[in-house]
Amino acid sequence: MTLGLLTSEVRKVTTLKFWWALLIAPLAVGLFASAIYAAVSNSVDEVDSSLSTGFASVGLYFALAWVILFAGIFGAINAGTEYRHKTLTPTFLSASGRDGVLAAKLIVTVGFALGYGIVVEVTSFAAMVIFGGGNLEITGELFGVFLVGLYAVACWSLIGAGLGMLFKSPVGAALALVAWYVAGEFTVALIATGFGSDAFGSWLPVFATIATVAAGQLDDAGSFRPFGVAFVVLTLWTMAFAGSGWLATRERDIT
Amino acid sequence: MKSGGVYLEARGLTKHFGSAVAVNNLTFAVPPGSITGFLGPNGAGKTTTLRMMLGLVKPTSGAATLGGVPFTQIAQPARSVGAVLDSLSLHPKRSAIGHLQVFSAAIGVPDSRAQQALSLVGLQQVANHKAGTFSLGMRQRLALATALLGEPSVLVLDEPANGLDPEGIAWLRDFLRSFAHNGGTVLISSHILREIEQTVDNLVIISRGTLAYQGTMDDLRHAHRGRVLVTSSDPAALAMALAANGFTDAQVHVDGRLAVAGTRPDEIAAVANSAGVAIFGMVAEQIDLEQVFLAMTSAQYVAGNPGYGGQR
Repeated sequence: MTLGLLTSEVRKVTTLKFWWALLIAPLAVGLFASAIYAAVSNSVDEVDSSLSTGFASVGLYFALAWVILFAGIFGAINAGTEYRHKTLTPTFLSASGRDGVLAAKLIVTVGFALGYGIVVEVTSFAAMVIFGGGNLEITGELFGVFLVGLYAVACWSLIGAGLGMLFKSPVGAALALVAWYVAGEFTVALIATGFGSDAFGSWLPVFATIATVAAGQLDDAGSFRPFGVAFVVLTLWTMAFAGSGWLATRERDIT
Repeated sequence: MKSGGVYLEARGLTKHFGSAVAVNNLTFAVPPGSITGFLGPNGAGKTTTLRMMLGLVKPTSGAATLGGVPFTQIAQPARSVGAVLDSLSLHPKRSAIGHLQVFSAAIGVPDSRAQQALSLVGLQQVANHKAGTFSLGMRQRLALATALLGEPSVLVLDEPANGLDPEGIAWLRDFLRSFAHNGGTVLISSHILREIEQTVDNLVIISRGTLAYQGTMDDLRHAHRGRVLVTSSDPAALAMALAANGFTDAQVHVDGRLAVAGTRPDEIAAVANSAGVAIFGMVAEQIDLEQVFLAMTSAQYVAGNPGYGGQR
């Protein structure tokens, strides 16, 4: 892989508009959710808050849920669109071997996804500070959530890219990802519970993501794996999807 | 363009898609400094062959090389080979200059080369227009500009005349001639011989994935040259006189006319005059190379007799 291939992949994104269009929704949700939860935290904290980062930070988790989803959609579109518009042909004709191109694409995908994550987290943090004032507990745990949040964002962008390469379609991959993220996994987990396998769902990627982003706050919750396990599970799911997409694109005929 | 020609070779290329044999033991060479037409009817395996040669499709067996090296082992492939395989290989929402700058970065040429390539194909006026607004001919030109970014010494073009108007086809012909004249090697596919007849030096014709003909255009023309049908007072005497003058390819038709190949009417008239044979008429019969091509290739997907309403 060369700097030229990285530049090429960055240009593939910046010469289109989808990358900033996809940022709008998580940014807006993160901003408003963080502002609202931070603003009402004073009265709600008197009732209860099981979050170690404080009730004022609830909006941050909404923001993370959305930016993780949209990072996945970004990855699916960025990879799948190469097949949709057949730009994979000139791409592979421009470089020696396919691995360099695929590595550059995944690195740039993660780079943009982290950009999404940072922008949303900084905006969310600013809203929490402005509207939460003294109710916001600025602790190491909060910054820990920021970090694992960024890790989850990066993982889901790679899962999305892997799906884009496997589906050979940006729309199909994005729809599959959204369906699984929003409802599919919870449905599967529910069915597994019905068959007596309560723990099954906790090994799935969305549950592993939630437990990872919670950064240990859900370690005692029955439906989730402990943070360390969840972190590894999420990493393995990411490797499985991104690796499968890589392998498929590396080996398949480009017709 | 780089100096020195590059040989393009296919040796025993074979590709199976499941039980279907798309290309079968295809061997041919494209000499440097020339334009080689790669002809075959739709579905004959042309695109699959070109994609195998460029490392996009893995051959079931056989190999293709450029200057003796497989495409996948060339360090900077776009600087050696430029290819237009699909005019639709463009994102419709990306501007022409944006598209080229994506690939100029990947190839490692300066961005100014993107502007030069656009000028080369006559699209500089629409550099900032989105590719989705382009006609098929304009997309072909943009695809060609992409192929030229790395200033390659070999061009591989899959049906590049599709969508081009007559002016565009004439431009492409001149461009390719100039490219080959400067030492470049060109392999250009088509399913219509007439489309590339005036452009190419050599021909590779395939049918059902197998080689049907390989040689120069001149050889093909010579092998299927036109005849002159002569109505004369004494066909036998005229045939003997022509043979005495070196024109040995003459046959008497059942209608009494003498069919003479390899010469011109004025030469026949001169021989007849000196032999004392009266000539009543001559008809030059041109062989249509397109018909020769069609005879060589058996179409894989043949429609019924042309016409409309025959079933009524």
